Amino acid sequence: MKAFLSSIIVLLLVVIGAHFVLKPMWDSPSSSAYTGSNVRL
Amino acid sequence: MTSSPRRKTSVFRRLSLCAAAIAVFLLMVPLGDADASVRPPENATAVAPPGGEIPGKPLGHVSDAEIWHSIRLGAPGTVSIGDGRAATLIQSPGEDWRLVRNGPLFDYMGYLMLATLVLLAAFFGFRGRIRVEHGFSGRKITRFSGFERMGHWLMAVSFIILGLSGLNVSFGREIILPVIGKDAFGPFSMFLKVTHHYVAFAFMLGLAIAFVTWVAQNIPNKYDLVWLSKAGGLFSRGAHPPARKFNGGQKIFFWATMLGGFSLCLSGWALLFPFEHSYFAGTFATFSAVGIDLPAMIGLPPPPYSAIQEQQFASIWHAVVAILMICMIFAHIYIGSLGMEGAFDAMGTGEVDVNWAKEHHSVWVEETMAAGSEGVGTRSTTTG
Repeated sequence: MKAFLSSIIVLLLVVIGAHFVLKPMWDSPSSSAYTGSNVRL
Repeated sequence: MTSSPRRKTSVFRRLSLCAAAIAVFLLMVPLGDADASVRPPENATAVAPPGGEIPGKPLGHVSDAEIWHSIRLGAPGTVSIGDGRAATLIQSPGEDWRLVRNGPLFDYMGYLMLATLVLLAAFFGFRGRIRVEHGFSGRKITRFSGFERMGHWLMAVSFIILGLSGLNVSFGREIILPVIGKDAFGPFSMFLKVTHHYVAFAFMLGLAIAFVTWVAQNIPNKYDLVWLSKAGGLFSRGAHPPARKFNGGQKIFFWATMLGGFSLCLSGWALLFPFEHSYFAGTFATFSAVGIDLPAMIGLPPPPYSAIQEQQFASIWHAVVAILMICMIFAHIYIGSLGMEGAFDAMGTGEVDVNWAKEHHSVWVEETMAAGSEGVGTRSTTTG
């Protein structure tokens, strides 16, 4: 049970960490959106 | 009104001079070289308009149908913006991708998952639950440490979340949308999509932990062939081929999980950060270097591929590998819970009954006990 709960905590930590690191990359600011080098699917 | 004789003489003289000048000019022009005055010399270089087009962009000899046919086949034009991909008005292979993705791919993948579940149900009906033939001994042996189990559950939980959110991309529109309606399906799918993006990194970590933890014990050995030749005793009662910590079937599962998981990570990475990788052209070039024309074998055009084609290949490959792994995981979950008595304890508490261990991993039990009975205890069993 401890191992399972530990895995959930690690999962949440990784998800939150990835969110803070990657969200600024994926959310294009209006100043750079719609430019040729910032096209995302 | 009258004119003087002197003036008439002057006009006549001027007309005579003009006539004489014209006569001299005509005599100086050879009649046989008349064409040379309107044709370029023979050594002149003619410069044709680019592409046969007349300067100024009129249609010239190219018809509307020919232009649109070329555009339909993916012929790029020119754009003034920085994104050169926008020069391709119609990305023709995209239509092939759409037809494959929304047609046979998801049909066959759906059938494959259903077939796997039906086979497992049939196997359960045929074999029933695989029992511990000698009964529980009441003695426990530690099979997996807490760290090993944490890595396993990290990989398992993240894979289930990724599988469900990914299946919504593939089948949600046909299965979920009619149930919950469009208004709910939009935010629901958006939430699952974002979840898929972030949980992917937890899966990568779990996969890496599992690889580092278990790779040494998953190197093939002499017991594996014996185990595989007897199908691990799955189809016959009383057959317990020897195995170390992992038997031949578990090793196949381990390497399939590692290769499939790694491939999922790569194709998923290419989808997360689009237009920055060309994994497929690189992979095909590697195969080509050893004489294997992989694109021709699977009916793809030869490389190089455009950035959007790489994305389309990654999308298809990601879906195929994911669904193959989902089918594998169905079997894994089955044999680790309902299919085999006492198996869940290995990842539940980390300790398994010694009799269970002797029946399924006899060599590992002998080696562990010979190493000093470490991990072997006499706790009461609670498995059923």
